[in-house]
Amino acid sequence: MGRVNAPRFSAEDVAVALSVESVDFLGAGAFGDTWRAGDTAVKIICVDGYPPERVGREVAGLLRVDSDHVVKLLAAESVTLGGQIRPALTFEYIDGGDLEARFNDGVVPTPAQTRDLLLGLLRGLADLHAADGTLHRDIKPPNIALRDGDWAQPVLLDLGLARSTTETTVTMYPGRLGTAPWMAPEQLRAQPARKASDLFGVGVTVRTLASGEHPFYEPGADYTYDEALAQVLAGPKPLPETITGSVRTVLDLLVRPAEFERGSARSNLRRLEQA
Amino acid sequence: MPNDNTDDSDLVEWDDEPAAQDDDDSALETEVAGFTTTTEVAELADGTGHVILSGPGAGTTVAQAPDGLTRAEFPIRGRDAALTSGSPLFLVHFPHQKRDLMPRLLASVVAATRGKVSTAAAVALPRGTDTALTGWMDSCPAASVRIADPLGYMLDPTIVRIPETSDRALGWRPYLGEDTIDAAALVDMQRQVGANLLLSSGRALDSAEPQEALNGAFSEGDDALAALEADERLALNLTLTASWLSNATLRDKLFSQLLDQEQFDTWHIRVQWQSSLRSFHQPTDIALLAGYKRLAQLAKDEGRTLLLPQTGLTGWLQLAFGATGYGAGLFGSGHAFKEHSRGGNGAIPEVERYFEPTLLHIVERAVHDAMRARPDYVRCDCPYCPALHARPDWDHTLAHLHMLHWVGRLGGITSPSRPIERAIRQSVRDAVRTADGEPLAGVNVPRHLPVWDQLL
Repeated sequence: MGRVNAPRFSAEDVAVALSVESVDFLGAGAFGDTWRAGDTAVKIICVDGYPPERVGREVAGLLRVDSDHVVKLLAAESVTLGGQIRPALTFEYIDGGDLEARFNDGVVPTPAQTRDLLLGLLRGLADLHAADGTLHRDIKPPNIALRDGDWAQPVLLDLGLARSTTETTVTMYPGRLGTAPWMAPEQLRAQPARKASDLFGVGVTVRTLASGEHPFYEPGADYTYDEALAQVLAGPKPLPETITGSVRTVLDLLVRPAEFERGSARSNLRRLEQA
Repeated sequence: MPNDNTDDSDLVEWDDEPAAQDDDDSALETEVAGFTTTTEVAELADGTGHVILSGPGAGTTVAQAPDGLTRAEFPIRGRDAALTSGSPLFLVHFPHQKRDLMPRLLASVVAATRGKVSTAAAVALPRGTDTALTGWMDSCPAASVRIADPLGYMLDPTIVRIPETSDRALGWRPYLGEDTIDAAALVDMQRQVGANLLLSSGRALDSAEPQEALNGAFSEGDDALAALEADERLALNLTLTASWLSNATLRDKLFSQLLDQEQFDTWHIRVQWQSSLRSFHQPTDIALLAGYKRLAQLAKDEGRTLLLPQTGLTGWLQLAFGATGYGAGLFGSGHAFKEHSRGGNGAIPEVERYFEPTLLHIVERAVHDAMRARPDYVRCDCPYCPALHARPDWDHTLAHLHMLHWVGRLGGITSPSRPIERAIRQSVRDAVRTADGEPLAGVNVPRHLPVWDQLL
């Protein structure tokens, strides 16, 4: 399972560890919990033995990115929590909620908002990929926040820390979106993620929001990775007819099985911006 | 009766030893110049002089344009403009002989296309000494781009079908005898001979281990990138068997890697064609051509510059889909990178053939003579045909120069209202109609045209 619903440590313990008066629990991922502390969001790696070099690598990647659509890393430190020293990454706090909450609330963006969302995500991805080829590797609704609740200001969160998943099946849990349902075909085949894998994640995410359903999987259904791959190769469910023109073209390209057919973030931005 | 023999262009395709200059070259150059009257110059992009485009001395430079010369309305583009302006780049490969005739040829293409086609002078490091290669590139001022290809695939005879590397080539380029190539040293060798577009080694990719092969080539490309100095440019140089374009699985892997590795903005990709393909003919394998088309489209979609050396008219066709550069040369090897086949005893005389621009194909002289005898035949205005047709005997060199001029010139058939894809489609369809109206048979039939028409 990729996400847990409850924090691994109490708010009081975390506040003490961070030397702040209080914290609010924001969410938990496969490897850590995220807490709000004032106007920052602090991600504390909670899994014992999480490779420090992985943290270092991703911190280095984040520091290279300067984008309105990628969360800003403010500090990379460590805290003592639960008797252990744990990495703690402090990010800007994006006030506006994430896409998972909107999806669970049944919110469907208008076609114009869908275009704005797609543009913002592709801009973020273009900036990310231009930073020495940094990858996100885990693009999905809970990892995308809307700055000030604005569909035109999506921000990619949680870069690369959850580059692998403990999920053994692809399951659309009600109200909880894991990592596997957003994986590109190459990731389902256990091949390394590349830039095209991030593009696929954007495509699936935006299609899910725009249509109110996952483009490949049925709610509550449980797929092995081979079955999930077959679903993806069979093609996505059609987009709503209100999604037209270059947005439709790009959303269809982004979920193509062959990596090269998805194009780069920049070429897809051109398709959208020139239309 | 069509002649099915190959010609001596095939026999010299793998010659890696530049022949001594033929004394006739200067006489031929003088003869060609004697038929041209217009003298026009174009300014070099850096403002250091002018290139004479036509008339006596065509292809050479003068510091100041002499009085009385016509100044062209276009300059000779610089390297970066030639690679990124969206206009075609015609790569002319260093010939193993007759190389002194190339400077005029390059200038003639620029002049005939009114600067819409830029040119590149492309040598191969194993084909000559530094002095010979530098001297030739220096003699081609109309070339916006200068390439010195390491031909790394010569280390991979188990992947591509090539002849044994000669002792002479090994002497000039000892890296051909080593297991691994030092990317920085290779870049430096290219600098030494005056290249202004540097290449990675061009080792052949093994389709039996596709991902490992790709990773190796791109990693080597990264090493070459790391060796660049300020203002230098590098093209990722790949050598492929045809299966990399015709097989869907291999193609997907190749294209996905090209897409992912955005650090390479220029691709120099050479694909080996089958040995049975006739000299100056075009491949008709639809899977291979569709692979080329998709590659060119990928380059266009992603804003990368795709150069296709040794492709002749097949490379020209790819301009319609998004390629930037295509290469040809005076002899058959310049038009096709074919599998080496043993055989050929060197005794077969060259067939008299002529490239008919309206057919986009080379035909036997008898066919050409019959077409030319008709009153509605449009006579070629290239710099070489007046001399060719004034001679009592057929001159193969002039016929080759005429063809090379046209392969380059065809890149400039665009107009403001007719972009390259439409222009090439129209040109191919016109050629199909012309061929349908001619009593062609055997090797004179342009069998590639229906396949091209299908792709367009």
